[in-house]
Amino acid sequence: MFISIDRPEYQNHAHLMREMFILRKRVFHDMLRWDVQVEGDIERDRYDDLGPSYLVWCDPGATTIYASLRMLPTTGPTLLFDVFHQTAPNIATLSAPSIWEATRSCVHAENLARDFPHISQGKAFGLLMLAMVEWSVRYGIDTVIGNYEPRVSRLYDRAGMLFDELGRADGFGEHPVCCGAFEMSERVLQRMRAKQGVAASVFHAGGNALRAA
Amino acid sequence: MNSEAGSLGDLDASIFDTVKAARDVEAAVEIVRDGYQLSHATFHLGHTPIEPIDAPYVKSTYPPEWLGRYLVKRYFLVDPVAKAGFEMVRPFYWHELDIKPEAAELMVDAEKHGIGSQGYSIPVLDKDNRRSLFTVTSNAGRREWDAFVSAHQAALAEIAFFIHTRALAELYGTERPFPHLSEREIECLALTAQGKDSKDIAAILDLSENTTKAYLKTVRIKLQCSTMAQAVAKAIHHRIISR
Repeated sequence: MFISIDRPEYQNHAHLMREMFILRKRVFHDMLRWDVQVEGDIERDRYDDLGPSYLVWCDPGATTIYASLRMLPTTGPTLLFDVFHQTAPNIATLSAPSIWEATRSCVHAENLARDFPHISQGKAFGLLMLAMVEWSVRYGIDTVIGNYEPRVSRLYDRAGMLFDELGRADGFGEHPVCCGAFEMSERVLQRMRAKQGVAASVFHAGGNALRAA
Repeated sequence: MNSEAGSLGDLDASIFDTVKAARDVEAAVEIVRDGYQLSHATFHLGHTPIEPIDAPYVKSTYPPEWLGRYLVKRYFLVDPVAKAGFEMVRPFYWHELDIKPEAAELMVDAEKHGIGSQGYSIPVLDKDNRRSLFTVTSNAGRREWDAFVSAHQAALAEIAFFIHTRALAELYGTERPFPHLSEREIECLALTAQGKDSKDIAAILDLSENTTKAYLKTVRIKLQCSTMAQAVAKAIHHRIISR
């Protein structure tokens, strides 16, 4: 199931959050070799201190993680503005209350293969993106800015997303990193559901998403 | 003209314009309440790590008795809305909140003072990491309220962000320096000034219409305007683009 975790709930999901930071370290530091901040076995940076919303795919007991990403409003400090500003100052300038950034999108390959052997990593990534569009539409977000390696763009296509590459920059890891603007709308949601064969919401349909700590 | 690309809808734009013309933040929250026919509207500027404010900056249409009671009963210590609102970044419906036993008295009391049974709160986070919380409430039914919010949440978020900027100016006395526009933003603005719509601009710049609208919206919000026509006029006035 997919859940969104906001700061009042970080404590309640301390285990899952730690799993997420471990996953991020494995993906972005170990595999992609991006220049990210690592402390021990976790990857965490100053944008995590802003109280972002994390979208997490986990088991019903919320102990095993399958995928996650981080959402922040572009009116505030954003990773993409800050990192692209040095190499490509005109790329990540979009900023409005209805424009958010998504970063650190990743899939836990081993957990996925063990518990969902029929779901490929690409498909899992598509589901994560579907969760992002659902969540964004619910909160009045019409555009999401995201960064990705060039080869990932075909996964976005396959997932049924509509997006523009705004530009790309070198100096992150082995490959250039692209910055893209993704449309968040009911139309994209329908398109993605049809393409991925998903009939209903991927979010756990519980009313009380928030638990004040 | 309804919802011109990149602009707010008619009702939203007219409320935004009235808010912008308001003499202060106190008047602004009243305009929002009356404009959308809400029970109440409240703007609360958070403490900032840089310049702590001693007295809380709260401008609200709540009855003064309620605001007094809120302080005397020290409800702010248990208020689940304020707690969630200053910790989170995403907007939330009050019905999403988990009400702890210690906040039960507050909720009953609030209801008694006509605060509204439904609420929607929008956290604001700016580039300097300053936070505020903008809340609107109503006595509408749940379904009606959710429909209202989804129709106007984007505009309410823009109004919240605008009031945040205005409140900081009220407190610290300075309007922010004129914002920097990127090349692409100026390009979109200049094409709009030439009468191109978002479809034309998208084709010229080889972008999707959604991304083009995102650029137009960024420009419009940086220039603090509710419509693209206003944004173009302001940009010409400030010589960001030429006629």
